[in-house]
Amino acid sequence: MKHAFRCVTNNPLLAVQDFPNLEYHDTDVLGLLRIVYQEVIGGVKLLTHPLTGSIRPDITPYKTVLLSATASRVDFESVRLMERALQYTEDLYRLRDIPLYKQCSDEAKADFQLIDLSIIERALEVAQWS
Amino acid sequence: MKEIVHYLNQFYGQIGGEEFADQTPIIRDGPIGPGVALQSLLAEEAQITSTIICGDNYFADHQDEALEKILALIDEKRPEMLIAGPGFNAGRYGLACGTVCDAVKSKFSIPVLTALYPENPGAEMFKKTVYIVKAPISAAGMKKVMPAMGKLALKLLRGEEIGFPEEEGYIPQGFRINVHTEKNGAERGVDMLIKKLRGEPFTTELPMPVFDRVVPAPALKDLAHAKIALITSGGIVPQGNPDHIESANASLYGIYDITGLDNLTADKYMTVHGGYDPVYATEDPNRVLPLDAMRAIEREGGFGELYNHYYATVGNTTAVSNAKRYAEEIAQDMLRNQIQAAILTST
Amino acid sequence: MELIDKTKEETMKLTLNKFHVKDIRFAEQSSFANGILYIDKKDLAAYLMEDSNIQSVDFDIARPGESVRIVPIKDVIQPRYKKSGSGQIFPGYVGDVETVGNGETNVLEECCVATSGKIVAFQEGIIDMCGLGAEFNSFSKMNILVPLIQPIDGIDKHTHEATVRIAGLKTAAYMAKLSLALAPDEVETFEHESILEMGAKYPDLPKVVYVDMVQCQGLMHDTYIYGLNVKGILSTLIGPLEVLDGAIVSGNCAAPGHKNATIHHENNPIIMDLLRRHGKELCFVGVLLSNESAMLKEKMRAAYYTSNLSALLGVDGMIISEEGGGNPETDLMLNCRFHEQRGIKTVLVTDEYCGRDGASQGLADVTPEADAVITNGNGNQFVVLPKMDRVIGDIETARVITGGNANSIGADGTLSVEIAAIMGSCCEMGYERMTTRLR
Repeated sequence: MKHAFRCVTNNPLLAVQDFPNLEYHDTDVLGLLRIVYQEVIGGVKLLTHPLTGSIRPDITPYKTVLLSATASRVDFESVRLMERALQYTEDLYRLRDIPLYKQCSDEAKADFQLIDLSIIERALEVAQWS
Repeated sequence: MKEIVHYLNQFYGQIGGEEFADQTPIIRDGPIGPGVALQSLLAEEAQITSTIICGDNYFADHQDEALEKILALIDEKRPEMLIAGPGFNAGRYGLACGTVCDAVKSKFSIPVLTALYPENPGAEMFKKTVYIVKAPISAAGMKKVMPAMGKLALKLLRGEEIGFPEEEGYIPQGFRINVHTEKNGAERGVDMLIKKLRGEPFTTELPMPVFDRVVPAPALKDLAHAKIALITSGGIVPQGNPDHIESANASLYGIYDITGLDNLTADKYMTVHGGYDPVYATEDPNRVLPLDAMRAIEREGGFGELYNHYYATVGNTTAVSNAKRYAEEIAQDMLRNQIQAAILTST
Repeated sequence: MELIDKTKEETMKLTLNKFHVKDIRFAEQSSFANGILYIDKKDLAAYLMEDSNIQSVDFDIARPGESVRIVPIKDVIQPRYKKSGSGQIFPGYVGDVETVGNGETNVLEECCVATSGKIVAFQEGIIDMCGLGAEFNSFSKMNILVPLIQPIDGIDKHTHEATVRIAGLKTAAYMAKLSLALAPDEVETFEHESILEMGAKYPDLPKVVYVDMVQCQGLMHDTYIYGLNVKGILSTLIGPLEVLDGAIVSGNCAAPGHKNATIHHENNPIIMDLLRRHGKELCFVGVLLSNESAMLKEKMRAAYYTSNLSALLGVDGMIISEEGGGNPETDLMLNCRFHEQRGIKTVLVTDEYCGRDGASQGLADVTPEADAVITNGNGNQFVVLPKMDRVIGDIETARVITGGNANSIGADGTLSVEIAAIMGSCCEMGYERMTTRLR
């Protein structure tokens, strides 16, 4: 059975890997979460948690969020999770004058991309959607 | 001997009651009222050399001028510390105590201290920057709050390290600090579980935020025949403010007759809300309480009937517990008058 | 078929033979005598290089009180080796896939292995052996052997991670094996009956289960049970004594401050405390593993299934630990809610990120049922760590690890970081002695 979903991301590696249903945005993690929030308050449902993995949103430059393919009635849990995730991320961004994700080397960037991809691949694998 | 200036309102400063709430800032020598009791607790170490008295209304309605004058008075005296109140749960006084303490701390870099009931809007606003001793709800608690004030005042004067709220008696400022413990987290966790299972009291190390979940009422089924009322926390009241609703921390709400009125006019209605620029609401009060729009829709048959009174209060720093009480009473009044829905406007 | 006469063993019994390690030294021959561990580098290297993915390996030593900083660190493992009983330590890796948790296991105390070497460019984790940094974990009081593993060229990250993980486990086993012929300094024995037996034996004691949440979200984010990656598993039950024999191993490399290293699993402090109070203040029914996935539906399934198992066991209370921060708080709160809704009382063990001043909301998710929470500290606390005379590993990586930044390394060699960068500083199993208080 083909499962429909939208893949909202700022990780360029996903395009290179030919990831399906991709919506790429050139922004940072906070920017991406804000885009996802706009979708969610419009009735789109979160499929993955907005703060996947254990690398903090102010440390990794990359994030991918899977969303429902269509919008319907606003899902309260998705809205609530997004609001908390946004607050959590905004607070962490404020820890330093320049958040850590802006200071990482190209090598580190490549590794962060790889980990984000691995997380999303694993998410689909475990959901038995891949 | 270290010198302290004490800030009081017109009542505690023994000028007079509510009728003197417009008192401009003045200064008197030595301690007055609660200052005398405080002085005795400071004993040999410090002296309240002057008391600044300012009316609560004057401070609320002319904050910039009041502060300018008060800071000037303090500049002349150059004390080592400023103490304000205790303000207990008095809203205007509490805001004044907090504002004065915060401003003095910023300008003169001297220790400051006040004492307020935790729900006082002044406490909410200033607890992060000012040490606020936890005071009982009213002046009946004066004897209870004084010792904590005295002790903390001395510690601040001496530059001693201030401990945690439980030990020192101040309202938690909201900063979570790491401390080392004797038992590891696992043992503390199992201890807590055993207590919880036995029904014994325990204290969580990480309180959840307060959840104020209100279940929404079911949707209105028949809008065409519904009786709807208008409420506002935007402070729209009849000219002259007959019920004297305060511009901040309102202590009451009003119910005003709008029978036969098509809209609110500037000559008959005004705003008393102190938290927004009043120009546009003064020009046209319908901008905050949309009577004109409601009448238009009523005429078109968009809903059944507009209730012939509206409810008004001021939401500016109004204590949550008070707002809750007004809402409960208003809801009861609405039920008595068979109102089925309400439109609440704020700012 | 013949009927085999078997006595049903209902009580699992594990004895930990503890040896206090005073020092580690390199020597011509590996041995353990009078508290001193002698390591023959060549012999250990040969053992590790049975894995053809390793090109070369070197070793270093860090001792308590020395002016030494180890960075980056992948995993920390306590040396253990089974003297008797079924199976061998770290089943699925050192031991075969065979039941562990009974017999005798030798344990080297005040000693650990810390694997180092870059797998990813942001590899994480610091251990300082003296100064302010040493106050934030127990590892600074241990004698540490650091294998520095160089993989073959062209290795992919997944294989590299597995290679270093297994090498660390093997090193730990190698060290503890040296104690087999010796008499221990102290002995602690744990007994754990079958669930049905303990139900009959302790009718009046409250029945408690421990829910161990385990990470499994992808590369550098995995946990293994008897060698099986816990991704996709339904919540399951495991005996506490099995965990003490290394049945759970960490592949988790992200967020050093609050990830659970293998040493945390081996010494799971919640399991240890529950075992010590078992039969006295409570009846410790067992350990439930509940995994932390990225998909919300998986989180719901895991939490529901864990609460189903708890209800099936008929427990009165549960204590739950988290691994990591951010999305795992949702797993934590879901588990709390579903258990409380079924009348099972809960205690949550976690940590916080509440900002430099401690004023931010510390958790990514909350639920009103969470009225009993233990916190193991605010990971955002900033500290300036003194310059160390020696760095084992690569100090440049401090610039990019959690809590560090480009300005982290001062001209005077001091390191300005959040405590989240210090290995295990806020361990959410409650391994360390720190909490947060509101001022």
